[in-house]
Amino acid sequence: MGLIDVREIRKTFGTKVALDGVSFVVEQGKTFVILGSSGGGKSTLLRIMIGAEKADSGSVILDGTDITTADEAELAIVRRKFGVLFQEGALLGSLTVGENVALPIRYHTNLPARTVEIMVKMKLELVGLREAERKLPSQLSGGMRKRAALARAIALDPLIIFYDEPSSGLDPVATAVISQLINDMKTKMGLTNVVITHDIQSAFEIADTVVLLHRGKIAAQGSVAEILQNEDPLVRQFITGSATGPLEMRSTEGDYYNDLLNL
Amino acid sequence: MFGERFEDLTRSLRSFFENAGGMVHLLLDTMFWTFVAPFRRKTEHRRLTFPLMEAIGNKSFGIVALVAFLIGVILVIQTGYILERYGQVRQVSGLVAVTMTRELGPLMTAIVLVARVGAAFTAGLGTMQISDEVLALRTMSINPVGYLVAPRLIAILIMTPCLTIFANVVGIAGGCAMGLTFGLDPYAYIDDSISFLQLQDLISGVAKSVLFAVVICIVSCHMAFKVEGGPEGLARNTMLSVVTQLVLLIVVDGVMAAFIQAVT
Repeated sequence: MGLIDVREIRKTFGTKVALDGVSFVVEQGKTFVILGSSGGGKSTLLRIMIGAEKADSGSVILDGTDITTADEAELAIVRRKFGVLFQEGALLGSLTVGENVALPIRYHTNLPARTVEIMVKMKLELVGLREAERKLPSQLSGGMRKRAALARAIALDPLIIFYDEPSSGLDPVATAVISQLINDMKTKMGLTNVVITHDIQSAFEIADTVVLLHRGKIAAQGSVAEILQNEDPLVRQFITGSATGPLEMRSTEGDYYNDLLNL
Repeated sequence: MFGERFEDLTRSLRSFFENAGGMVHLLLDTMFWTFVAPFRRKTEHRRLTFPLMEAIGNKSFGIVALVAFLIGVILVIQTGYILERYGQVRQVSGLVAVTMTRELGPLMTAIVLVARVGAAFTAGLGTMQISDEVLALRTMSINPVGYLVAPRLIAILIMTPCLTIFANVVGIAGGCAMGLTFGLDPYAYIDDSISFLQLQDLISGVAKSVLFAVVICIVSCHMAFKVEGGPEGLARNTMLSVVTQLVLLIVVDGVMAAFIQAVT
């Protein structure tokens, strides 16, 4: 059993099946990347894994605790084992960067203010943002906001970090910086990374294991080399970014002529 | 046709009961995080409450003063000439004092706070909801009700009665100023106001203001946490929040008026 064990997760929204029996295991100290196109079920899977959404069936065992059946008190304990880097950072806009990083430390420990200050400086130095400690999130660029959010995510030295689209909206240099930081979290701090992304290039730079989600199901799973050698047309299309192939972007439901005639 | 209307009605009823249940649940949760949790675990109430008190109270004094003063003036304008016809214009001071302390002081202060504070609570927390900040708090094992709602409730519970008492005084001053145009002596006006007023008038007004504060805080925060669908959803919920607060203020006011009448 790995650090995270996802078993047969199923989730529907009305008649739409978002996740259909997804299972995988995330090993400790590795970077696990969940790839997929928009609407493929990646974000829903992340929300279920962090306990923000309930699955219809299945389980997510995180370091021995089943997130899907845990009550709020159990979730509060298990959530201290992981940090989350949200797509837009989700830093509290009314607090400075330093205060954002200090918040979980102050809330969950009884450390003196001076020690908290030192810890905040250390976390910000790790992501290269010590000079931005007194700035508000609104004064930061997109990349800086994500790095500040990463500093907050590692404030309590978690076992796992979840990343929701860490490279979205960033320029290539900022994307490379974030990818480097994700690698550093694994190699220098021994953390387990779970990354949700659709960015193939950064995914292959950081991943130990890759899962490709398509229409709520796992279409492919393996190491970067295995995924690159995969001959499945769907996997090939996703890797090459081709507009034609089994990953159809246009809606094919319903009859086009009937739609026109029923106007 | 009938089927559609029935469906609309059941949807509206379901939404009404869901919101009512959600607000009661939030109220109980907030009471726990406000009055019980600080004795059991670490909270950020002290650090968060004072800036909120300043935002709710200090920054509302000007607009509350303006509204209360004008209400005092209007009461004298509207009633003074009738009382003057019967040679009873001196009674206007008592009328203004009792109306302000029992009814208009608390109600007008609450209406100002709905516009200034309730709308800001819904818009501010609603923005946090759609930008995942509320979820981020949860993932840090920080209860959003404890961190966001409880300090707001404490701040508004302290500041609303203060603003209400201030509005009462300014309203009476407004009546006094307008009374000059009817030839009333300001000293006699103040003396009459004080002699008319009873302690229960003041207490019932302040008690109402406490309930109004709870209504404003709980409704605005509930509607904020229910925001979904981006900026459009935020705008819709802010509007709904203000309307719900206003309607509930009048309902609570009516219930309190009947209750006070029954017990006195």
